[in-house]
Amino acid sequence: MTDSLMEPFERALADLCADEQVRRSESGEAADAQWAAIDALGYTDVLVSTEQGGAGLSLTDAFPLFFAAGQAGLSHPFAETAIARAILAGAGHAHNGECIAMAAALPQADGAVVCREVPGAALAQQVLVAWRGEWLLMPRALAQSTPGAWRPQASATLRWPSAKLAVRRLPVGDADVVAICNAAHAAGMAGAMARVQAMSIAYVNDRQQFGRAISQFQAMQQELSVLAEQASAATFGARLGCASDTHLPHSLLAATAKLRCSEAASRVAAIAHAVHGAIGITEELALGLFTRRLHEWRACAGTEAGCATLLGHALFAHETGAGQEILDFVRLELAPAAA
Amino acid sequence: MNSTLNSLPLVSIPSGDEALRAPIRDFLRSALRDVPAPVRARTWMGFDADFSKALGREGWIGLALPPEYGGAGRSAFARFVLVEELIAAGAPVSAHWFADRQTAPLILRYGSDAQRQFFLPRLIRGEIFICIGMSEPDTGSDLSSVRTRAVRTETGWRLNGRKIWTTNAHRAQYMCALVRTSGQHGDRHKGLSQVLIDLSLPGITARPIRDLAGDGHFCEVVFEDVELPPDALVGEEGSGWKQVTAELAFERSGPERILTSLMLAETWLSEVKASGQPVPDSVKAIAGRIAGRMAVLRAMSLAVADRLDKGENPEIDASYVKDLGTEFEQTVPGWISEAMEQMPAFLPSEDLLRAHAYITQLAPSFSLRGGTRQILRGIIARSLGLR
Repeated sequence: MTDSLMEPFERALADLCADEQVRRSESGEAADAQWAAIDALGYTDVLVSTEQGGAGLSLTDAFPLFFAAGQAGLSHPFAETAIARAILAGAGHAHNGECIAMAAALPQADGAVVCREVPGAALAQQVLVAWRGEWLLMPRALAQSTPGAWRPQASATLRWPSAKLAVRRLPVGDADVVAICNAAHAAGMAGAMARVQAMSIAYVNDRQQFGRAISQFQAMQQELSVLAEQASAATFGARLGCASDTHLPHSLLAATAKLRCSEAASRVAAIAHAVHGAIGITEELALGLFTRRLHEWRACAGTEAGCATLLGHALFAHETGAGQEILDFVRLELAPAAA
Repeated sequence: MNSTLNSLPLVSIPSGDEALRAPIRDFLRSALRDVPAPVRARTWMGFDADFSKALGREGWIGLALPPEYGGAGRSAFARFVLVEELIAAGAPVSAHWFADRQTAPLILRYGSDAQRQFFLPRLIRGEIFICIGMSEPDTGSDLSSVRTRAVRTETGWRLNGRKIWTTNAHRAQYMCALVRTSGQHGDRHKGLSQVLIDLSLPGITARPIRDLAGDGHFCEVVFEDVELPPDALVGEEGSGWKQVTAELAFERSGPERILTSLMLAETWLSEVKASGQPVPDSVKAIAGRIAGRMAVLRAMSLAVADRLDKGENPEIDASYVKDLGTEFEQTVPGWISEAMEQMPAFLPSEDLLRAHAYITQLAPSFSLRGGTRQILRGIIARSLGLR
């Protein structure tokens, strides 16, 4: 993704995601119209192959777009939609501009399809669900919907009585829904953290106490440096999570990304709120919109413990016999493949 | 809006540089075969002149220095591979380490031709070791307050003063020191210069100070009317501050800022695997956290190496790597404690326990050397527009 492609996208996102608009879409208001405007920018099909009418980009190339969506505060599951469209296009499915959330189904005895706490699901028209080795493309409107714990009007727990409601079914194949969510969410989290950093810096330079801007106090400077370090590490981690020549992430890289972004997110959110003081706790300030997203992302798909356990199992199973097992695992399995 | 495109991209180690790994690892396996874990835990604080000389014979000192001075002319990535292997193995590299990392690039960039011809080949062969004299009894984080002074004489310079915490001053042949050559104490970074001091000259005493683990590596060095030749000066008189600042970028972002505790984690992992004990998921998750955190730091450090290789000075990114990297190194011993507590049936070896005790006690120093955490965060804050 080059600057000339990114700039118009970032500009358009900034216009479409003014704080007031984000608040409205978070409450479900005019969310479809906002999605239509985002989709009309023409970036949602970037991962779809050129034969299928897309741009044929890799996940590596698309990372800056996912990051930018998180940074702008876009309520909709943009990265998930882009990846879902590439998966569906590969099976010859043509879309009608739908916004698509993605999730794994919980195991259910009765054949129902249940997905818990899916970010942005209430704003999506469809959900691409991994269920018993199949992708099910489920119409969201046919689901029994329970408001999400973090974003009650934007996210939801969904229950469909049967997989038969799918408008399209295809084998999951090599794809790993948790890895996809991890890579997509990590990119959004890194973007959101960059935004939280910018908001925090602007605030401490503006806010005066003891006769000067609070940014002049070393205590503030030290805290914000930690925030910036964490946000920077998160961006590297998220980039690593999207390091792939295809539209699908590598599971271990995606887990690394999600783990690192989640670790960073709790510190970033805590520091940002600490430096903002009481105003940061208000509905009026947009900070809460972003920290709420960070907490939601931390809690869904691959959690910190889940990602760390996945990495740990792979590390214990990895045996080069060359004496440096952790180093070898990191450099062979947790690095982007050499060009 | 600050685009992510402004952040450094991911880079991979080119295959030609990666090819260095196998021969280095073979060499280390045989060279360190009989060295126990608690000794290897010292890694870049461990001193072994014979080891450094052997490394020099292999061509692995001054790897990135130009061939005309005996270097291998390799890239920053080749050096990255070398450092990664040395530190991961716990090789005792401190004899040549600091000069290889900082002083050699300094002499190459600012030194006279005679200085380059004299120092670089000897350094590269592991024949001379150079220590770095920065801190003084009243000069720690506030480096520009150095009082050690070199005064011009008819024959060169007369040096008086005192350095402290100078690693290996009692066993190195030279010191590269930051001293005041003009102006007064209080003139801050003006009037500072770097000098290369032959430590065999009369008037110099170096006294090791034992650390809390009982090792004697850092020293107090006293200079009393030491007569230096005119060519002791490196670079320009009065440019010491600028030169030191450039030098510190090499000091802050290398793999040794990430991997100091790795040898402990590797030893723990191999013993747990060999024990045959069932490993709970919670313990695997700790291992996973170590690997995940390290993977991201490695990506950051490689990105900085790429910039250094291109002749840039990514000072802020280097500061990020050092602060996050040393935080990781300091976290590892606690994670290993937690993992061992969760497997009471696993009996770690005495060596593992001693390596763990050593790293746990020395870990606070990881974020002191080369600029404290709080100073680095101040530098970062300035880059964020907060100062």
